[in-house]
Amino acid sequence: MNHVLEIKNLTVDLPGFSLNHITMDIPRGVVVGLIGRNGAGKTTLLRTITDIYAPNEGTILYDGIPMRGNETMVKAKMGIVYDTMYYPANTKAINLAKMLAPLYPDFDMERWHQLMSRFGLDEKKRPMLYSKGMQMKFMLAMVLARDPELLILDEPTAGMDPAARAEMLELMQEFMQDETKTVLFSTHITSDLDKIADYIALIADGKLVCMEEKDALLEKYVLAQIPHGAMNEEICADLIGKKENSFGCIGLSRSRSLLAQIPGVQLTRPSIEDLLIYGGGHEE
Amino acid sequence: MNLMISPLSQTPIYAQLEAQLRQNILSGELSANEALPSIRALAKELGIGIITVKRAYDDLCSEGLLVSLQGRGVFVAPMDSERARQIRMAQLAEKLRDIRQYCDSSAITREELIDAIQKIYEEEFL
Repeated sequence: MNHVLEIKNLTVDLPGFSLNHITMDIPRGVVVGLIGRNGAGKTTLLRTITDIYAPNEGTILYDGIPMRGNETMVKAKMGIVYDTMYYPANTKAINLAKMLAPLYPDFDMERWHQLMSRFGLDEKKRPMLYSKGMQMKFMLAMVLARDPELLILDEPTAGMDPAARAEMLELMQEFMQDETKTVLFSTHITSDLDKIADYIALIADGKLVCMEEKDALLEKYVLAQIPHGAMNEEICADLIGKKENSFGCIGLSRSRSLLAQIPGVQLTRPSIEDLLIYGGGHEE
Repeated sequence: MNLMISPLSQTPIYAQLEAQLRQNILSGELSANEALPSIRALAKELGIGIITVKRAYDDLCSEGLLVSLQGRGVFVAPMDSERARQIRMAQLAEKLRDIRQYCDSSAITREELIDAIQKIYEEEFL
């Protein structure tokens, strides 16, 4: 089995929002970055994968196994970290671990102690007194103590300073040293993905725009600045997420060779941020 | 070996890594039969993607600069001086093509270019 997750035709209807017919496979042993604007459906997708929302249509297979009827087995494989503290944060860290450990058969208390000391976290402190970065690391320690196969993180770097973000990315990469592990994380700090992501899944307006290997995806597109005089219908139709500026207009294109022949056109390699800005759809 | 990657560069990360590894091999910094870090270890060290490192290793393997031994890792291929020279000449040709393109778009003739190179060697340019 080469896919740790297989999502087929997934539709989730929530009041005021829906996720439409999402189909994607997540390969094992890679880091997948899930990007999209606020309200595009990133959290809804992650919450459906982690069984908080029930799909209205479609299936999700975990190592080929459906969630229904196999909840315990499937959930034991997954470790989930959300962007806000979801443990009772006014209980001392060590007491929280002792309280929650019996609920997870794979929880390794020895490993937890090691992670806490590695992360520089005081076990006797209440997590509410930790900084944002420390709270994320605490939640990560709680999850990594179970040695999950699939680590799912919802905006793990949101609200962190650059040094804390770099440390978070390093921890993900450390987890990835074992080639059976997979990380799926959502973010809109796209510079995190320029570095460590292997695959990029872009969601816009509740639909999957693409799910592709990062380097291949960035090579497929150019960011093109078209001067006023050079614009024609063919170019206009080709340009994705066109924006006007005082020089002409700018957008993503897949027709590098066509544009390269037109005098005055400037082409540059897009970043993931550009993919999100020009291909990310509308604001909710 | 010393490697450094800039994620903000216009050059894709895998290409930056390839160029630096190639340079390390040609300069003898990495010697023949020397083992390279595993794909995952190097990805973590450089803070870049696993697939990116794999692509750089694969490309250099197909160029004959690296060899991948199933289950044992990736090693620097033995290389004779003739082969090293061929690769350096190929790199030079690449740079010269850029220069030629610059000359063509700036109305600098072939003779002027050759003359300019000559002057650089004689250290009396401009």
